Amino acid sequence: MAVTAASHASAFEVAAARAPDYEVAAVQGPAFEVAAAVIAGLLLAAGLMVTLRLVRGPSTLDRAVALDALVAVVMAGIGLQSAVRSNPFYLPVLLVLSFLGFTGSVGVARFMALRDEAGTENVDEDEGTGEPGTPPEEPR
Amino acid sequence: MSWSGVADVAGAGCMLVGAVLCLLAGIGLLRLPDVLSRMHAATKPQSFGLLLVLFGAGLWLRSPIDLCTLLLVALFQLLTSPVAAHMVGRAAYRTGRLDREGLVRDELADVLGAASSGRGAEGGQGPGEGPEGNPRSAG
Repeated sequence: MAVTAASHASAFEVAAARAPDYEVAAVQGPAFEVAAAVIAGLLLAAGLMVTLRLVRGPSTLDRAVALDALVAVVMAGIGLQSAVRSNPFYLPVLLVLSFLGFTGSVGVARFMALRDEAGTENVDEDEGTGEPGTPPEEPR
Repeated sequence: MSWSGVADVAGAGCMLVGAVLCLLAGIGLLRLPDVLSRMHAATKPQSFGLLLVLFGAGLWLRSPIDLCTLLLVALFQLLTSPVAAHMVGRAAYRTGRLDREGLVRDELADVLGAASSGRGAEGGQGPGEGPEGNPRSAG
């Protein structure tokens, strides 16, 4: 009993000795706070622009690409948040988001390909981005 | 300057560069004209920007478990984003959503044309199928 209490106490001492090291090491000083604010602002602006493309995108593939970029920006934001707070609680969320963006984009692309093979063309509004298929003067 | 101070400054620099890459991707996504060039812009934060941000976060966190998690995230991102980009680019080409005047060289069209002509010679493909029916069925 005494042994376990002593071991707990020693572990607590180790943690207590380790914690201020983290506090000092991570984000002490106004320069790092300013840097974190600037990085967060850049990521916020990037996320807003990507979201604008996500809303405005003329085709579904544009939206899929924008969604991938948005997932990347959100992952960068979570990484920044974990680094600033020195709190690794949200790091598994990064793993989940990596897989989630991948499956979403692949699913959308595959769905587009399947719908195209089913024969219904121009399901999205076509803004003259190019005619479908190869040009008709193809030699055969 | 101590080792931790150097790591702090380097981590802040890495995260700043990664955030700038994310911002450039946002600008590129807004301004570029079609799907393939938007993919060109959007893959910057997916690979390099995110790697820089994760590296910076690792330089600030400095715990072995967190470093392993960040390494796993970077590894999965590097594994999955080319697959997603390949699928999206393939679907964009197949549905014709690309600016053909902006292409310098279209090697896939040559290959698909050769494949479809060979297929039409052996299978008796009718001319009424349209030129875009062949490359899609050629797979």
